[in-house]
Amino acid sequence: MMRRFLPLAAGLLASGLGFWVTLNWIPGFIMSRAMDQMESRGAAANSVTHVPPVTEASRTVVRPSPDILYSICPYDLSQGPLLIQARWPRSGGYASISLYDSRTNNIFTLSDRDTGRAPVIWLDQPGAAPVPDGAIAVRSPTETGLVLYRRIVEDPSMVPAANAERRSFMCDGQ
Amino acid sequence: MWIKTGLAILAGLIGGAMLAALLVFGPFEIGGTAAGPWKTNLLIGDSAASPTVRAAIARRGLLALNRSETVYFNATSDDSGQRLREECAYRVSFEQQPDTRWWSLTLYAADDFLAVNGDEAHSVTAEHAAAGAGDAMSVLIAPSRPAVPAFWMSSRHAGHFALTLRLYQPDASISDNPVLAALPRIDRLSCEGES
Repeated sequence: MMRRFLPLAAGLLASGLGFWVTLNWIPGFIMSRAMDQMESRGAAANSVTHVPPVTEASRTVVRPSPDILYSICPYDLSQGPLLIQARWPRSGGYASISLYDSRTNNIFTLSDRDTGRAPVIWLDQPGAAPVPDGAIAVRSPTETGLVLYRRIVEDPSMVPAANAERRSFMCDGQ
Repeated sequence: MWIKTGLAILAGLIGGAMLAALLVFGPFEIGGTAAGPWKTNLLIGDSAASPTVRAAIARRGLLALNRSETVYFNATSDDSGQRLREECAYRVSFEQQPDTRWWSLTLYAADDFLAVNGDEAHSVTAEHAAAGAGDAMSVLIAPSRPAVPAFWMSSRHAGHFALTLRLYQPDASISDNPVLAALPRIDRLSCEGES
């Protein structure tokens, strides 16, 4: 009797396994594909790329906002930690730095409301070296991921100023 | 029997993988909270999200912020439950401005990117509202520019489109319970071919 149902039971168990493994694989796959596209457009690991203002030609990450300037820094901590710095807008407009691991989790976000004008973030792997004085420590659960700087542009006339200000966003491998 | 079992395992693995892919890449809304036509997911960007929710968010909201920073509402239908489509005109009516530091309303084409139409009318923001009079405002969504001045978002070449309302640094009451946000109505005005 049991032998008769063995193929059915094995098939059901296998379908559950296939479902679970695929679901867990998809976020990393989507993130990795997006990062590959960014790299093919010139974004290098552990350095900043200031993405041009979003237009209808922007096709790398779904649902981009045309009212936000984005700068990105794909990170790879295999060679050491990453030092991330920026200066918030003088105008009082919104800006933030958010960190995503390679599984798409938003592991950390810091905005202009949270700290003084010049935040310093030290990104490293869990259990790694001490953090420099004054830096905010963030541990990434994955070796690779993405740092994303957002700057809301309240008015199109502010794009040149916001563009200049976001040059203060830097990330450097240590 | 072992051959049958092996084939059943193979079929199960493939079937399970295909079902997962269909669930994530198909036209389904997974999880979340709804207020009228507006839907949001409280687990966006959260490592506590289930594999299903995480995969669905990666598909449609990659690199989104978590809800303490930004609450994202998406709508793919109007207030009567009809699918949003480019052949129709809609009015999005705010009775009051959302209680948030900044907001924007953006129209995305069926492929989840900005519609390719050259109209430069993809979004309306808090600054537009500030330029108007009072807290109430309405936005016209239509495939062609209105004859009279209005806040306009172009749905030309957008197909079955979606609206995303971003609330940046919302009041704590909204990030705790997003359905409490003052969300706009979406009313269909007319459709091509309808008298």
